[in-house]
Amino acid sequence: MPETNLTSNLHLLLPEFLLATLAFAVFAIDLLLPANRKKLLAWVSVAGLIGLLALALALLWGENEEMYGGLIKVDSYALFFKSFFILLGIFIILSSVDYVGKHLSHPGEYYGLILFSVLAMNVMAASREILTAYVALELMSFSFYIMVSYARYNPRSNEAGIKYVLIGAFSSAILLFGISMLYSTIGVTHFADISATLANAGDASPALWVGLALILVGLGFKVAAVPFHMWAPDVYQGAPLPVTAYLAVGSKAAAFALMLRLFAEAFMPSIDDWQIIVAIIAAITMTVGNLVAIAQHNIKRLLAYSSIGQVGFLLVGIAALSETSPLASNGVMLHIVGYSFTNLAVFVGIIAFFNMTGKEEIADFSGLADRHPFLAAAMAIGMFSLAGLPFFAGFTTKFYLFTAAANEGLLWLAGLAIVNSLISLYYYQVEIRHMYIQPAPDMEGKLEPASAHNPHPPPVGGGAEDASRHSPTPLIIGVLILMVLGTFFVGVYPFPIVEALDAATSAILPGAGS
Amino acid sequence: MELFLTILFPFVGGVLLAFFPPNRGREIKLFSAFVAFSTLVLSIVIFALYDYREGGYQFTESFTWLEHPLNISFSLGLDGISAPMVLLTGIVMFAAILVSWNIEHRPKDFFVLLMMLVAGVYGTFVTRDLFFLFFFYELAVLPMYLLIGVWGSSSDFGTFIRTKEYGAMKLVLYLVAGSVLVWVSILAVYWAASQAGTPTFSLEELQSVEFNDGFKHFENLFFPFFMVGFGVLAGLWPFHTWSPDGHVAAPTAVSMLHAGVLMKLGAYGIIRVGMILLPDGADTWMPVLIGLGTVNVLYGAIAAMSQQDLKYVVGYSSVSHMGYVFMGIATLHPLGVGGAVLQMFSHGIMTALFFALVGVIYDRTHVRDIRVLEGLSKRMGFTAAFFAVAGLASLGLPGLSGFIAEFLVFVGVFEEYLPLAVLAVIGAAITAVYILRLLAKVFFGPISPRWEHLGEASKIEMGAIALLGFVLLFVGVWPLPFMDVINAGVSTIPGVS
Amino acid sequence: MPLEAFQVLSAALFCIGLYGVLARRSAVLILMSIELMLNAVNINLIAAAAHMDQTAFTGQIIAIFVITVAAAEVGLALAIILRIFRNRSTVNVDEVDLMKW
Repeated sequence: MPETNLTSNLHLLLPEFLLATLAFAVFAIDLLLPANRKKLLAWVSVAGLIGLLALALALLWGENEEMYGGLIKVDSYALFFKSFFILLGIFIILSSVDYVGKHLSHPGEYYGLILFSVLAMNVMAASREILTAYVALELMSFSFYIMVSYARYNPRSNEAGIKYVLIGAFSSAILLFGISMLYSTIGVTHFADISATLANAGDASPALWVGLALILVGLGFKVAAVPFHMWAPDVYQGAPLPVTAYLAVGSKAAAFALMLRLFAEAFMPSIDDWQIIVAIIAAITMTVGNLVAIAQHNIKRLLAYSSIGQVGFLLVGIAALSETSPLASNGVMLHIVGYSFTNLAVFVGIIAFFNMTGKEEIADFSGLADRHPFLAAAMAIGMFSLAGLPFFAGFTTKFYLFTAAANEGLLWLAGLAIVNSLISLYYYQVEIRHMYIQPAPDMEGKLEPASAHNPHPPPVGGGAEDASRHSPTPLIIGVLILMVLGTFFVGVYPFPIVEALDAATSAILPGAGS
Repeated sequence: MELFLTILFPFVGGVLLAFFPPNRGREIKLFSAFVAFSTLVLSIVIFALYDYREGGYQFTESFTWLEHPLNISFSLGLDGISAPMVLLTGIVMFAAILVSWNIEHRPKDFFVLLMMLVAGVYGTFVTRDLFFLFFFYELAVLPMYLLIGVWGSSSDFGTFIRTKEYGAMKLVLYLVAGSVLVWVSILAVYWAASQAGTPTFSLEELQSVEFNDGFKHFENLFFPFFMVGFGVLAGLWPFHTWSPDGHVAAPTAVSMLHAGVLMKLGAYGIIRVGMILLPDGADTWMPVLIGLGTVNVLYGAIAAMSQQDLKYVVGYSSVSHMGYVFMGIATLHPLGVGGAVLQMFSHGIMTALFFALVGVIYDRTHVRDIRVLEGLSKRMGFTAAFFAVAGLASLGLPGLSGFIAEFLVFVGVFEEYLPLAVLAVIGAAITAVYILRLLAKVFFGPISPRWEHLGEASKIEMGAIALLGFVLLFVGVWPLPFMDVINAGVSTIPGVS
Repeated sequence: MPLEAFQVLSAALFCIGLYGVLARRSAVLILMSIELMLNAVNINLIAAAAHMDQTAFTGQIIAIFVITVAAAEVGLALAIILRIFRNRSTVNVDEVDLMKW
């Protein structure tokens, strides 16, 4: 391990320190605010995040330094994901404001937990040592365990929480056992050291392969890759809607940020051994996710399975990683960016719809295009993009990703992924048919107050009836517009993003300069 | 810049339309017609300015979109094959907007989607980059589900009903399934080119790659992917079944654009991507394509003969006529391929005219059953006259565009595959039978009392119909300017001799 | 003692924990089984650290982190289990089945 001065460059972690401070500050301000002023917390969080984004970009642009003896590296890869996660946090908070005011109590902790999870994600993308990565992963998971079960009196949210925490702890144990096997055979935990050892290993001991396999399984649980996915639909369905959106986008992106660095920096030398395994997992994941999605009636479950399918696509990119080509690494990150805009467009639409009606079955969306044309259009755009049709992010990012796979000789996998896009188009069109072609159900269902099967009864005393019951609030429309514009932007002009990705890739795969 | 404008006009038009208030139907239609007319004028100018003596790509322009290692550039160019297609798109689009004047249900959404469709079609025809060709190709498919699902019509067959949702879903899934094959083989082409040291999506650069060098039988392996993948959109038997169902379910304007222009995208793709990039593969597989094309001709004609629904007759006749296009392409003979390209143009205009007329009739009678429609010429003389023009062009009467095109195809087939030429002529004969029977029964027989009070087509519809009919006549009488341009394009296709 | 002996012990403990997670239906017992798995991890780590480098304490440090994280995890999980018990009077994971595919 290189001797380093542990305090010389601590200022590079200033954004992380300030983010933690911000989270605690939100907890503290929460105690001081009267119950009807809690919205202020959201604005404080958003303002803080915007400031942090500016600070991070100004402070870290072009930095490439290790700290804490190589545990964490501040490079363009970390900076890219840092900006991405902070932006994501901003959007999630903005789209939560109405929902939290109506359906959840204790907004202070809610926003604080989002900030903590953003912090954890930032560290996940920056860590170059396996324990550091693990601790960051756990911080993120813990925040999500709480957020998923945040609707305290809602049995579905409870159920989602317990399933998530048990599966999460279980998968952590598997991941840790894998790490311990790895450590006990090669005795190092830094990515660079692992890579050097693997490169010289030749015929490594079976214990090492058990360790690597268990790490893969543990991460597979975290990203909900088939066959480790069974928790995802239940957790997605039970969690409060903005949390589901965050789970579908944020936790996936962060887990892949970690995986990408881990596989590129640590496991790359033995790619011939794991490539086919990851490719097979990717193939199963996308096929199962997309096929089961066809049968769903609940929009959150549908999106849960569709996001499992997207995990399969991202794993295609991991399987196609190469020391000499930046395509796969770029493709994974580009797909993450495009998928985030797209999925958030759909989810924010659903949140707006749920805020108005309290419903989330696919059939409830019938006739939406007549009542709220913009909402329907935004969600349709999001779904076409998820299905990979052009002008939208989905087409461009999938094309990039699949080209990367084909370029590494995984044409069969790319072909299967394209077939899966076709399958997904079917169930998205069914949803679009409800919004655009089916006539609206009778109007009484719409005005009826929270009914018995409504999974999220409004909190007692907080459910003041307001105008937002019948039309989306300007705030949520604003977020929706941003997401749709982002979807178009990534789809039509990805050039600036790909420039940034090239820089990020060159940080984790120095040999892949383009 | 001219070619970029052909994409920009409908695209920007569509975007601007999205900001119109939804209840101002008249303004929306006027603006759409204005956009369509400007695009038509632009298309005519581009076609007229294309210098066939020089040949090759003209009006070229290029912008880098993604750099190395993908090397995708937004590059445009027009050659002798795409020039008539651009003109075709302009004409059919303008006519389609005119016959959509009676759209009252959510007109804004309808015209926005139509504009996006047309932007996609133009994009496919004028791009010189494989990525963008596929990008626009998919874009043209994207709005179809909503266009058919929302504004289409279901058909009742008595014992069962083909709903518009069914037609829409079938059409989209078939077309996207076809583009799955195309996508896979585009990736394969890039992979092979990358192995050969030239990673690029530029069609011109790919043309100089010897794909078989790196992988034996690469071209033989992947040409059928392109052939079938694009062929699905062009209605290649046995993947044509989406076409009658989809076209019947679609609203008039969408049927016109889809049968008139989008199906040509498929044939264009086979020529532009399949034949030009993989000439050896094309050489191997053309006997199969000509066989399938012959089946297309005969099967489509026989199926059309047995239909009772006026729109299904036209739908199956499209399948039949696209068969001539496949046959012409498959001859690899300059006359045959040239004839195929002219047939693409001619059939596009003709079938658009057919669908426009069927739409006019259906709007007034609310019936498409040819057992019920009788003697309409007494009340709809104009419509009947132009139906006769379209019909005669369809059966290949000299003096109308269909004759030249099919004659050239026949000559090409005759040179290369004599027995199939006989079958193709039989197909033309069957076409004559069902077209003439249809004309006699529906238009020129004794009028049924039910239709005594039928009104004629509106002035706007007449304008659209007359435009299309005039083009059919023009090409039939003076095909030279078209053939010059087409021959300039065909002569650059490798393997055509 | 050879390192392999510890590895075998640790693997055995891990498998017992794994079996417990799969076989037990009470959420609390599942949680305890997970703790067992984590202890297997700790044994493995410390044994390996003791055998390999006597100067750096990576293994021990990881073990301490694992213990800390596990404690937090149990606290969190028990809180959620309590919540379930208050709402539904059961902690049997088979009976917590509002949502199924």
